[in-house]
Amino acid sequence: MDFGTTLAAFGITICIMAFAWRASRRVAPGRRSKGKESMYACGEKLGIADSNVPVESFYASIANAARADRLRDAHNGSLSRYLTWVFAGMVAVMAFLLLLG
Amino acid sequence: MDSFYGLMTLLITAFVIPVVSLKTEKLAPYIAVASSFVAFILSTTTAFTVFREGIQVQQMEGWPAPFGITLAVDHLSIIPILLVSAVGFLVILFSFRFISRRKTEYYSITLLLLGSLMGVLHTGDMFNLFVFLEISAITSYILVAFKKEKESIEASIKYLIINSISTSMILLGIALLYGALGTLNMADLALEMSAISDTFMPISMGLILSGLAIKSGFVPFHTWLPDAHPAAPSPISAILSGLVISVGMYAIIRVSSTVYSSYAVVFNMLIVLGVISMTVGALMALMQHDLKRMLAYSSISQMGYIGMAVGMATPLGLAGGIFHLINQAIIKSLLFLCSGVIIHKAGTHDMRKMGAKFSSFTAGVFLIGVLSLAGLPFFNGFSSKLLIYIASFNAFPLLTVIAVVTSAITAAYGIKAFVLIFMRNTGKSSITGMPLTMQIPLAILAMLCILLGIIPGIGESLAGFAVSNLNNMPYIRAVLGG
Repeated sequence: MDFGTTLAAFGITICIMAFAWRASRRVAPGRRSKGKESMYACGEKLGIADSNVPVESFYASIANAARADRLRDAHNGSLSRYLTWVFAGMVAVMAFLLLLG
Repeated sequence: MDSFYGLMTLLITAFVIPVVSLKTEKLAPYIAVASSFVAFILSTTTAFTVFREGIQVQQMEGWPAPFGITLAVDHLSIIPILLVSAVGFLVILFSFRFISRRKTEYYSITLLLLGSLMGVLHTGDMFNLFVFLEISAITSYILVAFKKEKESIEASIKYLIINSISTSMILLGIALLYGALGTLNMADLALEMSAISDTFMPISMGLILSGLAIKSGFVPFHTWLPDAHPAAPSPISAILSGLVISVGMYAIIRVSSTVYSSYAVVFNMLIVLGVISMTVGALMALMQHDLKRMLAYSSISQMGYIGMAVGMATPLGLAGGIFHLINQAIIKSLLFLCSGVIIHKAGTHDMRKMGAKFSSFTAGVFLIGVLSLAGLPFFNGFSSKLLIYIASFNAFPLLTVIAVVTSAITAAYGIKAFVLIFMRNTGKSSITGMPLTMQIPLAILAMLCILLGIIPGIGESLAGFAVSNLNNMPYIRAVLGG
């Protein structure tokens, strides 16, 4: 299948989907109801704030497991430290190429 | 070679804009949009020519290689050329209403940056590669410091100092090459290289590749990137993260596969740098609260994927790497442009403080970008990462495990960003509305994420085409003749 055909197929698919969606809205127009919007969680009524995951700390466990705090401390914005990294990297690359090349 | 005229259009327009702006600054955005669009059209016609007829070579002023300056567009370079011209056009279109002051300076230097990137992709000799990389670096310093704030100036100076080391390394490496082989033409170097065994060669290779690793943001050469990319205006961050580091990666692939093709150890080194960059970048991104800084670390991580894939030096690995290069440019441009809208409206970089209600369009395109970055099925990131997983599993299964775990971390920081920005209603004002010139580039980039995800054959064909000619003999024959 060439590029033009796939693009045409993609366009036709979108048109069919748009038509189907439009037709469905005519047959069964969406109606808001209290039941649809109410929160249900294991039989308890929870506010949105209570049911949200605390995202600021949720992923911290991954960072803790990887001891990424040390990595963060190393990225402290100090130019002299950064230049040392670049120099160390260059020495490592040279050693790698000279020893294994 | 039409794309060469595209390159020239960008470079010439960069100097025309300040002259025209002496009269009125209002024309600058129009000229820039027109110029980048012309470059995109000319690049597209060149792409069709390369697909149909193969490598296109132009010898400047009729001087034959290796004596004159050679421009060559082959299977490998045409894909990044298309990418630079297309994303460049979209970013300039986005800037149309986004940049409201110092337009002359902004558009002139941005066009110069895009022109220099196109130059890197066209050149057939090492010295012009260096010159164009330098122009791109100098223009980037200016654009990083564009806001003239404390952070942006500090980031620009750091970028300048660290990139000066990169420049020195590359220039020294090229000098060693020239001293040993007496030529700078890449095709000629490739021929000469296979004939000699010199102890200087690994040193020149190490210098050039370390310099290019700084430009591509590989760990531990990456330290300039998380400061510089967030400090620039968001459209420029999109170019820096989407195109500039990708062109650095192209230069690594070009030099490794053409000039140093006889040194397999280069590719092993790329695997090591790739794996370190992939994991360190992802972990650092996970710990960020600054949206743009998170995306900058994410770019380091994605370059790691590309480096690892290319380092495998198998057709599947290389195709996966090139495909991910395309996807990373699209995704990162989308996310950085989106971040521009978000930060402009929210008034802060800190995701924890962004509680305002954004438009569903902004949320939708950001979600598409995040899901693509995480590599979820039906998005472009999945298609290229799948190729990388398969290639790495065939070579070293442990690398696949590391890549999959890193992808999970990518999903974690992506979802964290989306939830923090869009799913917390802190009762701040509702923010809607965006000019059409900003919506169109975002919509096109988001559509590309989905298109390349549900029809991965398009990207796979392009990447397959790019690596179909990595044996450097056709390139050498096309450039040197015979």
